[in-house]
Amino acid sequence: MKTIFTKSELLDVLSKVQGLTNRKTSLAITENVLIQTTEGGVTITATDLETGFEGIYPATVATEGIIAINSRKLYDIVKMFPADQINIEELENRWVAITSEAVEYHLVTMTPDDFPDIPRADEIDFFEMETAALKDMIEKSVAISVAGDEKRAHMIGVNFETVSEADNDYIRMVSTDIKRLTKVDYVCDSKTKPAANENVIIPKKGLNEVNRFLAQDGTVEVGVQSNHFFVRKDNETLVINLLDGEFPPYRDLLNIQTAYDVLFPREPLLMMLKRMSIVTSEEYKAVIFNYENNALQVRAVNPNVGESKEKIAIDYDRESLEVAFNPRYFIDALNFIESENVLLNIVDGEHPCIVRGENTSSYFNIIMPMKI
Amino acid sequence: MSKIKILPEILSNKIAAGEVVERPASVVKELVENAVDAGSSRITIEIGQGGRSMIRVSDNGLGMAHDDALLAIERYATSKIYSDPDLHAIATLGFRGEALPSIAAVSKFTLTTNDGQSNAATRIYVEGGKIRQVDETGAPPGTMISADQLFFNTPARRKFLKTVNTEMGHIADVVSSLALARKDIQFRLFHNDRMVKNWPAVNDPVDRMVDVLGREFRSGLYPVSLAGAYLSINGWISDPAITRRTSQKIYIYVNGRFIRNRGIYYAILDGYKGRLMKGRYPVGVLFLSLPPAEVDVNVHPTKHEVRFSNQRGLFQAIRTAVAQALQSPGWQPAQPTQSPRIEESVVFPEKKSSSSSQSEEPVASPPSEAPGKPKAPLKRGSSIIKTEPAGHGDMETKGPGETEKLSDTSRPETPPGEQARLWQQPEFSRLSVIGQFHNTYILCESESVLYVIDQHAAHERIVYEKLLRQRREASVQPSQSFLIPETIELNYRESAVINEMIPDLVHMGIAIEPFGGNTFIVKSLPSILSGESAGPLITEIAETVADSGYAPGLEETIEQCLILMACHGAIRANHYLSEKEIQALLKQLDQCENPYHCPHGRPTLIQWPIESLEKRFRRTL
Repeated sequence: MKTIFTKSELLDVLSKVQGLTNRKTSLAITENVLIQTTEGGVTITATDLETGFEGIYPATVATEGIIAINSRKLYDIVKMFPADQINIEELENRWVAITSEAVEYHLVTMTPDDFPDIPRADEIDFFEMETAALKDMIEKSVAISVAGDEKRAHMIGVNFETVSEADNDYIRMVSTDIKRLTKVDYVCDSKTKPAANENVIIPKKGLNEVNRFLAQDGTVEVGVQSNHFFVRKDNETLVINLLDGEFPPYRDLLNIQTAYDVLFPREPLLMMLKRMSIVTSEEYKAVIFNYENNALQVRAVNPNVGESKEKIAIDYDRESLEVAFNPRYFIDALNFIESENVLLNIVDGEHPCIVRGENTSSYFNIIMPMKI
Repeated sequence: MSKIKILPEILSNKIAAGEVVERPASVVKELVENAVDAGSSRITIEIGQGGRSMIRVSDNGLGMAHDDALLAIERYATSKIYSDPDLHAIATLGFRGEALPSIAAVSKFTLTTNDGQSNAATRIYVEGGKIRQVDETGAPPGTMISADQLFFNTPARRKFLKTVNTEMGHIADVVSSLALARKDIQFRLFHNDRMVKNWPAVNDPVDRMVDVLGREFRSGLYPVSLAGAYLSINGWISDPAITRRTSQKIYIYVNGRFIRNRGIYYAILDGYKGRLMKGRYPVGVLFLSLPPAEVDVNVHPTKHEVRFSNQRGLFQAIRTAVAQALQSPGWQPAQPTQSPRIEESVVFPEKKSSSSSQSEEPVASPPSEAPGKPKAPLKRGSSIIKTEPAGHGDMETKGPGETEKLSDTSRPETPPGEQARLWQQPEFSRLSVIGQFHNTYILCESESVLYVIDQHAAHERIVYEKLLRQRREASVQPSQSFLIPETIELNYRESAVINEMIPDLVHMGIAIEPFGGNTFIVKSLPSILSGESAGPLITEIAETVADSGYAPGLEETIEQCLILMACHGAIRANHYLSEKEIQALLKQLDQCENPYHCPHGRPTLIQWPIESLEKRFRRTL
């Protein structure tokens, strides 16, 4: 194999895959990137066995071939390379030379045949989404993360499905750590006609990679095939292995008819809860919400730190109600809501509280109370 | 012709022997127990070839008359119980009437006995269960039984015997366990005509313990003493520094009978919590005395297993007794431990124990059992086996000067030539600080001892106890409800256990409900555990409880969390401390219940008495 790369292009690709190749692993081959040169150009592949990346780029190919080279070392070399043109050439016994006029590296590489196969997106119906929208959905979903040793699919993964409600088609992501749940909908326009699919569970870890992979603007193509979730942008594809498991039925939880909506100005509520959370700690996580006549009083008590209370005026004329929550969950939700006012849908001290923007139902948060 | 037949007696004895006589040590156990039951004051055990060629036990006990002796080797013949009610109030070690015929069935067996009233002793020779010879002979009062050529007629069993040394080890273990219980009897053990052990009768049970377990224990024993309405617990447990890899060296006696019980081991370990490294066991001898009606001994032919009618209460009491003992100042001849809380710890509570905190309550026994029980059996039970109260009696006469409070003495009272002991210097804040070594260890001195304190371990302990205290003081445990209840599948036994524990679990913040069959749903967890998954947690609790009857599960997990939090919250090694910070640390250590170990069980301090330094510098020899 012999080919010439442009430094900036190669660096761009390598930086995208560092997250995949720099994981601690017992399978050393996955610390490598696979570089294959063909007549049409160069294919670069990386994987952590759960998430795979493949990009096809034009390049000046002198001879065809394939190498598996340490991703981290190649990235460091390219990053600091003094010339704009980088020659990569395979020598004997899997030695690879990285050279310019003045610089010459010889690296040992691994057997390319050992490199795991990456699933190919053959014959699937991709549908188009705005990059920003997909990024937004992912950010909101992966904000609810769980501890590293968690195994349950519905907690380490995000439920992904297409939904038809009223006259619209939605792409929907639902994420939970069983103490709270978020639902993010994306309204499909005429261009995006996703094939109706059953819900699948995409690991949050892989979705984090997607976010790193996506640019800010433009559109991307998304598709699901058997056990894989694909995100394709021009000549680059990211593929994530789906999780086995069932996502719990969540739709009943979104039903808000029985409860009572209270309108809050978003920013003041957020700031109030942030101030409250100063007093909380690992042992004393809860703050107490007291709905009274036209006011919500929130207080936090922590024997180690002290206590605080604060009032906010609201429209509320029902029986007074006391319920405890972890304020962290509200802060996470309110941070993502863009509208000026938010609605808190409350029932009582036992039932979950629903948090959403005033005039939108595309982003829903359901938060379970605490008992103290 | 009928297919089913009554087995001939010799065969049924052989079958019984399979259970009772597992190996030479079992023979020794049965014979020595008989000798103890016969009221002997001197018991001699002679072994040949690890018990293969000869086992001979002779005593100076009651002995038997001619007719009794013949009856004794019949199956189900015993002098120890006579009627059905006796079975529920067993005060002797044996009672089944199986031992002698079983042993006689698988050995060449000679019984020589003299009841001291007949003119001559009776000698009976049995071979493989058949009486070969009965004659009169001369012998001193008492009984001598020898079982030679054990398993000569059951070659399979004989083949499975281990080496001489192994079998002899088992025999020595058996004799040790019997000897520990009876300090008033002299035990001598011979192997191949050589005396291996000689434990003379002693007055002080500690002497017997030291004889049997080794000298190192003399300076590292804590007396355990707890007396409740029905139960009393006495004995000694080792300093947390003296540990073993197995529970072998924990000797439990229930009304004088040596038993093994995993639940009790768990309870003891729980009492040691925070003082032992994981996987280590203490050494100890505990005498439990409770009404015979509360114990079912008739569970297993070898009687190593017993059942308790209120085991939860019992375990709780043992845990409390052990924990209290470890907080006491250790064994000293003149210091009877008098823990003020003893009266409050009722094993079979009739009223709520005022000292038990919220978090302990769920594991307390159900009160419904207690009120109806007659108190009468208590007197009988406790009078049968004398368990020595710790540090009472003649020990009190020794040096009253030593009873003064330890904190008043600036210098640890170290018996000459012995290692100074931790618990004699409880006041860290009185130590004068030399400085910090390696930004990790605090060096301190008292008049004659150099102390090195691990700052991380010490601070970890402080933070941990603070967290624990807060938790115990809290009236309600905060819990986080789940949006999606977690479903848990248990097996039949585990779900029965969990079903019973539901109110306790709910009280601790685990909302768990039966969901049909062996399925449960968990709707909330304590907020401190809310990042965990309920399934493994509940399953582990259920498994432990089903397995041992002992339920530390949930508290344990919560404490693990607190330990983790303490570890993160504590100052690290390689961290500079100013003198003021060191002083504050020492002061807080003084307020800890257990300042000598970090929550993981590692020591917080080590010390060098000046004597040991002088020795190393060859100033003294």
